[in-house]
Amino acid sequence: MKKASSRPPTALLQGTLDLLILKSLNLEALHGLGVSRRIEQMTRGTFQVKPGSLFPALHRMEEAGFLRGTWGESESRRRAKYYELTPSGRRQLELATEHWEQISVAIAAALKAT
Amino acid sequence: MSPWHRVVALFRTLARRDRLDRDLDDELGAYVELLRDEKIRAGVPEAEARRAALIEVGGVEQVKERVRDGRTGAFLETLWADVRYSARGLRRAPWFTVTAIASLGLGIGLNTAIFSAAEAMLLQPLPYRDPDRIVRVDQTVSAWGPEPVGIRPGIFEQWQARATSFESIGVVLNWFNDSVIQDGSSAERIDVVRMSSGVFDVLDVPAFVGRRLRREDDRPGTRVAVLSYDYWTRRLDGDLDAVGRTLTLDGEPYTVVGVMPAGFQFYHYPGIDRRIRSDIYLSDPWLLVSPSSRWDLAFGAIARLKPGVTLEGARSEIAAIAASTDYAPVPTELVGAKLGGLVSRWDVLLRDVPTRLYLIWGVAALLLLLAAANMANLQLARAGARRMELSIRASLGASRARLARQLITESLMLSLMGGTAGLLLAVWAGPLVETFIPDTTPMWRLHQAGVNWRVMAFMTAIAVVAGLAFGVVPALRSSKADQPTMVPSGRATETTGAVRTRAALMVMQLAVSMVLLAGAGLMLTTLSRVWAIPKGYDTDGLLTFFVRLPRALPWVTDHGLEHSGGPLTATTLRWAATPRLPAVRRQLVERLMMVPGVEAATVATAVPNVKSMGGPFSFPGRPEPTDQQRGRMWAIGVEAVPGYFDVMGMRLFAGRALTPEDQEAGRLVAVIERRTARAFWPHERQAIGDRIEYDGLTYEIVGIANDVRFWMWSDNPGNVIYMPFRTDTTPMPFFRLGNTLHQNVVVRVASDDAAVMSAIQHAVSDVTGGLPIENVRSMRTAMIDASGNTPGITLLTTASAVVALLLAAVGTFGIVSYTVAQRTREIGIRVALGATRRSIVRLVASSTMRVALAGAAAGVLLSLWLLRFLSGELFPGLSPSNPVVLAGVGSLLVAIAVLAACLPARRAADVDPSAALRVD
Repeated sequence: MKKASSRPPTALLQGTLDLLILKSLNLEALHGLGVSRRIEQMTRGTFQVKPGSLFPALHRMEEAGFLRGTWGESESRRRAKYYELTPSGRRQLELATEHWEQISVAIAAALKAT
Repeated sequence: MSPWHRVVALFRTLARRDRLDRDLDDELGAYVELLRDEKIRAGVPEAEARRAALIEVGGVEQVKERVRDGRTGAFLETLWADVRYSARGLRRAPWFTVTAIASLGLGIGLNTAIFSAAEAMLLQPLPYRDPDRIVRVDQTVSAWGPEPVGIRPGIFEQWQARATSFESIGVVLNWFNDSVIQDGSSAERIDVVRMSSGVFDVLDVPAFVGRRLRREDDRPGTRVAVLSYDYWTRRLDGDLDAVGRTLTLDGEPYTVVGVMPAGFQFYHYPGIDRRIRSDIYLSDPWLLVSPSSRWDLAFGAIARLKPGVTLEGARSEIAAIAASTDYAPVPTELVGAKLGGLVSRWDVLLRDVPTRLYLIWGVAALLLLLAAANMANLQLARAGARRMELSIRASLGASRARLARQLITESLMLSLMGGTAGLLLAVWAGPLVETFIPDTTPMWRLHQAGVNWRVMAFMTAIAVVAGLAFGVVPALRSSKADQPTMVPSGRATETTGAVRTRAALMVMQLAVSMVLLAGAGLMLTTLSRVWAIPKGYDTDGLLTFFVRLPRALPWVTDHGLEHSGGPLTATTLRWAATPRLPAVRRQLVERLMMVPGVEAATVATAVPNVKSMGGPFSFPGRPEPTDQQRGRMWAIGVEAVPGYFDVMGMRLFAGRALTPEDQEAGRLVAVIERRTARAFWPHERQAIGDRIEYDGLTYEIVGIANDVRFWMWSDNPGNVIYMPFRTDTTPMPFFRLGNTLHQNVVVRVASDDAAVMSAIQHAVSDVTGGLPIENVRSMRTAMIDASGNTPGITLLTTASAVVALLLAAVGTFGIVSYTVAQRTREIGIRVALGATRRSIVRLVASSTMRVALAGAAAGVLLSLWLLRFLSGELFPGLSPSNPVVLAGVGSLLVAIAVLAACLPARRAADVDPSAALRVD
């Protein structure tokens, strides 16, 4: 069930969000809040991912086999679900990064054109 | 996602749902806790940290719902949840559920039954090899209209010899489809087909046991029989030794050579009663006529096109042959030939299906529409009452689409349950549909109608369409309720849009009901007008039946008919001068009079309301008739035993009745009707003593009888001529031969109970050596049957009108109840301000009245448009837009709607103002 009307343009953002999540998990496994904070940090606060978008994306990518979820203990000694990249997730990150770079170059060129 | 991941994911979603949901709970719980820890670290007081974390998350349940929606297979999962949820909801509202299933079941069932009939005729292939290659070879005579006529044997032989387009061609005798089979002392009437072996070659279905007819069986005088599977199993217990056995048919021995497989059936020529199911296929179609005979239009031909030959090619060949064939005595230029499908398919539906089938289909469609409109209305009202429930679900995370989907699932469940009920109804009502179609309409395979996958698919399709039709609008309307703000107040009154939607639906429902009611009103008026016609005889206690004396029973051939030797043909078969048949009739009457309970009995060639032949008449020696008179010179000839008038309760107007002496002396005397005398003589009584010519004989008019209405349902009352049974020796055309052996018996009984009936059967058996009496009916029933199906249509329209009225009442009741509940607060205020009970009832009733009046007005317009299709069924002169009928049913409808509104209105008036104001 898509709820396009109640959200910002998802078509663009979904791809972006997926890419950001993959990127945030590139170095280490993180739990949900960790992913959220890492994205905030990476984008210098531009993207604040709300749980309503974050968790559906995490679960979708877990189902697709890009992420693997394992239960672990947080720094504050709480049981939390940590996500890490699978090999196919790493490949996806490379592909998506490449794809994104092409788009951003193209769009930057388009915007600079007079 | 790879296919493998997809499958694993689907499995996870469906099979490990609980585990997934638990994990999700834990995960989100941890998220909140981690966020709280973060807040505390950021300096938020511990007491407020958790609250702040929850606010930041938004709604935990909404997040969960979105995660769940994103899972592979979530659709199936939510569907299943919706189904269970809907089932619970429907169980809580049993009256609503039962009403829904019953009304939908009726609508869907009737439509399915009709579809199943149509499907049998149009979509199932004929049970022959390559049925599309089989054609009928029809002959037309331009002077007689476009309908095919039977062909003469001589012509068939010319066609057979010259046509090159056909792989095989066969001929079948269109008449004499009934025979009597004798087994020792018992006699049974069966349906037979006399055909040449070519017919079997054309159909090309292998025999089940033994063999089919062969070329050599076509030789005149060969007596060979092939049994139908049905007859073989029914009468011979499926005995394999039946082949080779001898059967006695019409007094002649036939050797059984084979049995056809189950389901094989040769469909006769158009116009033949489709209820005839051939029991036995007989060789030698020429039996009753010599192949050289040129004047009997008794045969039908079918042929199989050679491979590669197109229908067009065959058509032009046969037309060329027809144009150079000698048709004497009919001029060649009048005769043509054409090819048609054996049993045409879509052209049957488009051309031959009587308007009556469209009529019942129309009624069924209206009923379904009505049921759907009613459902939509009830669903709307129900959804209104469920607003609180929906709001709570919305605040628990269900999106609007999710709510709408659940409501639509519920509607679909209802309509599919209705459809299942309808399917049961269709199985039961299938034969009922058949009774609405005249017996001579070429729908041969109607009896094969049943439930198969196409019928199931049709049922499902209309159930889904109906479910969507009545489910979508209410679902979209009520799912709007997802503003969480509505939970605390619940006070929100309805939007004007919702009120208008419901009013419009109700107007539509009432308008459609009105059409059905008006249809029923018109049919009932027709029936009452028909009953009011003076019949001219006394129907009370009158029973009719007939006995068919088989041509070849020894005592008929030996005495009643004289056979001049050689092959038994119409030309060699003459009436004997010493008639035995009149003696049989006399015995019949005498023996019947001895039956206790029988007051009087008579035998005639024709009786009112039983199909009978007629012919033209003229008055030799009278002035040339005017053109207007010429149009009326056609009469049914009733040859009857003396005493006919007394038994029928008819009155003689002038002159004398027929006497036993007239019959014995073979006097050519006749009694005519007053209407005939009035039309052709200046003074009615002057007709007596003049002469009338009818069917080749000239009679002296000795009496004038009061008019009898022979056909109740025809605009033209026609003429009737009464005369003694013919004893002349002129060669008889086929139809006369058939007529004469067909003895219509009329008895007047004190009561037609079973004892009298069986005594009558015994009496007839005594005289005829075991022949059954057929088609026993009271004269009233015969009158009804003779109408085609007017009473059937009346029953159908009346029944659907009653259903429509019930649905209108239920619908109105439901909606008014709901509206009143919505307005409880307003009504409470009115009562508190001093409104009386009466004024509250009036308030509610008057708003219903407005809607009902609008519905009736729309109904009048819709009726004017739709009911013209009924005009063929109406009493001559009764207009489909009869104002009395329309006004009558309109008032009835409005009255019922207002009455249905009064009950909830009175309940509203009992509202305790203080309670009403506390409702919110």
